[in-house]
Amino acid sequence: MGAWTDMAFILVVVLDLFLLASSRLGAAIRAVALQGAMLSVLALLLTSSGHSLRHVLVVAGGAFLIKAVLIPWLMFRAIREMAIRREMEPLVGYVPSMILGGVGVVLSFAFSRGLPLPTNEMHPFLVPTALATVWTGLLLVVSRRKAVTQVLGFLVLENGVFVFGLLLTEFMPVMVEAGVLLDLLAAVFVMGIVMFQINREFASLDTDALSSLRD
Amino acid sequence: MRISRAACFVKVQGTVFLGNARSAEAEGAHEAPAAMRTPMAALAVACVAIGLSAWALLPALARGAAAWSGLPLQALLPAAEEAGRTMGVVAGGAVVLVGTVAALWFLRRRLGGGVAAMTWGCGYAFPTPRMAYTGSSFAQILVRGFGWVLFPRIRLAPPRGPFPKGARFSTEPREAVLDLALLPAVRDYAAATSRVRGLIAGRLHLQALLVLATLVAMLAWRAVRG
Amino acid sequence: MVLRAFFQIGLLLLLPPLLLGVTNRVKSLFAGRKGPPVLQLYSDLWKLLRKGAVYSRTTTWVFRAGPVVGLAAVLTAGTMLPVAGQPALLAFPGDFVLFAYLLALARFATALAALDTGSSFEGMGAAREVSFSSMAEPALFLVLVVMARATGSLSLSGMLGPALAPAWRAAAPALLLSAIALFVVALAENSRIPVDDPNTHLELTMIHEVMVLDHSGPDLAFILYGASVKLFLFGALLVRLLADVSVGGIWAAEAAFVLELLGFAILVGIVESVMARLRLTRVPQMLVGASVLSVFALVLLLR
Repeated sequence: MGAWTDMAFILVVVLDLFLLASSRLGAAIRAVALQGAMLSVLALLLTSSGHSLRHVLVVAGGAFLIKAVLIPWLMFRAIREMAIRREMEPLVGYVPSMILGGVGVVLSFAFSRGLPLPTNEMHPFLVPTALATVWTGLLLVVSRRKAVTQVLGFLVLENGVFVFGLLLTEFMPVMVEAGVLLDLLAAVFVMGIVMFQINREFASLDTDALSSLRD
Repeated sequence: MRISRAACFVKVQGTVFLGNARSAEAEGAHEAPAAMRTPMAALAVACVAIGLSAWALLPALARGAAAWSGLPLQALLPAAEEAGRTMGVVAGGAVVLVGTVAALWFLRRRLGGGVAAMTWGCGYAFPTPRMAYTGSSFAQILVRGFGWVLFPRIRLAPPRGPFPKGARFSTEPREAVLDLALLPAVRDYAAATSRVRGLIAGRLHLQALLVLATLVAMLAWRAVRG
Repeated sequence: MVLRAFFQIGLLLLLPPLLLGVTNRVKSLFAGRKGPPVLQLYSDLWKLLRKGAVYSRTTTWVFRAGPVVGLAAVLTAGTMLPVAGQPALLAFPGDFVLFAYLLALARFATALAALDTGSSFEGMGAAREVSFSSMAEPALFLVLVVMARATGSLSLSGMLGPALAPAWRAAAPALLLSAIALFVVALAENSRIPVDDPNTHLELTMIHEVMVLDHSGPDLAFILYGASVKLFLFGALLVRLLADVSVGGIWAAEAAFVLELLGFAILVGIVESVMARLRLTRVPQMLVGASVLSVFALVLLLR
């Protein structure tokens, strides 16, 4: 059981690194979906006697439905509608962003033990994985040009927050978590609509073009 | 590191010594006289000898170190002997390598001999120095791939039109810390200080004012600190 | 003991061409062809060894020394690799550094020989080979460091010896990640498909093959044989790291080792069949990715 949990955490981090390296949008969306699925698996794996089973099942099932099925489906629909396949050369190249991601992973594993946290009984990989995933999401949002990839970055960021939330499942009521998930869904909807609008107006999703808007 | 270093040596040696001469001056290059080469060869032979006989030299070195530092010999000798044994195996590895090279070289001499011909390759019928592969081209992938830390200075003049007169490509990686951060900072600091010095030098009243200002500042500091 | 030493040397000398034969057979099966016999490379080598050689007038002794030094270096590296959990013929603390340096020496000799011809294509190939392997190198070293740290041994014989099984129980994720990184490095170092295509016939797209265009006859035989030995070395490293079979006696373990190596050859063939070659600009990304993966493995091990 412990080894499987280890592997699940490590897979989440490896998916982070993969996302920083991938230029194909389809592969990146699949990676985000797989990461979402891993999160729901993690929620189940981390269940201890202190948790109410119903609560965990709701969180895991909700995360799986929204993060691994619904949002990826929406994203695939979006890139099909807008006929884009690849990210263009990002502001920060793939190699530097991968190295930055690696640095983030190293730092989060090195420093996570010094953080003051409400509980001490947690998996040793939980906090570093959460920090590394948040860092990856930030990198993606900041350094990529296409709006689709920026949305993916936001999703990864949110995945990191979710991992962090696993630490607090005992303290957080179900309604709060459900609210967070729905919030995310609404955000992706809004971004999807914005993306459609950008695409229709400018025939491109390059967000750099937005800064040259004039009256 | 290992291969980057190897890449560096391949670049230097390959473009300086191998292939066709890159320029007319290089065409006339010749070997240095024996008097210049012998000392180098002697040093190289000494290096190889020390490397191969480290197992014998290290215990003696440990005795010398013990005598010089005053540490008890028992503290140094076992470690030196251990390292010496390892070095013996390493020397064995070197012997295996040299032996294999010699055996293969011998085998190669016994096998089919060579016919002289032109270098094989597209468009290599009449090689000129302009066609030769340059060090900048050799390093291009690495220099471009790590351009975000090397900050290379790239000069590119691509060939234009039919029968181009000339084209040029050179990359020159710069020392990121020294050339781009430290030296400009030092230069700016030097410029700023020399300007200040020029302002003050020779003007007694300005210097007196400076001394006074310093004293006042120290007094104020003292007052604030209480 | 002497018998086993002879067996190890025999394995190192005789098995490598078979691995390439198996890989090529798998590739042709995937392509729906019958393919060359598994033992084809042995015949090729024998044929080449009996032929004469052609040397360019531009070349010097450096060109002739290239294949010899390259082959000698990989063979010497082979004496440091333990076979089936038994200590290698040559083992000392830190020998993994020498192992890596010998592989670099082989590449150095080949690249110099390529530049010695003066051909721009071969210079380009040498530049690519050296650049890519200098990006693969941090990954290789980090993998070796992970193995050293996990087993507490500084010698390849110790890393891949009896200490490996407890290391797997203690640090399986780190070792698994470094095995993946090692496989990527093995593909890159042996110029297999996602990085280089050993079958390509266009100079502009070649990496390793273009460096040896001017070699012929026995020299080419040395180079082909050296390349297969190198594949054998990486295969042995990976196979030992992943599948630590020490069932039965020593000889059963040796037989299992050979079978695992053939499995490695089949795996390489499958990868070559199902993957397309990466664009040249994507290759550094893959290699840096392997390095980052092994850094992650090291971090997992150190915390």
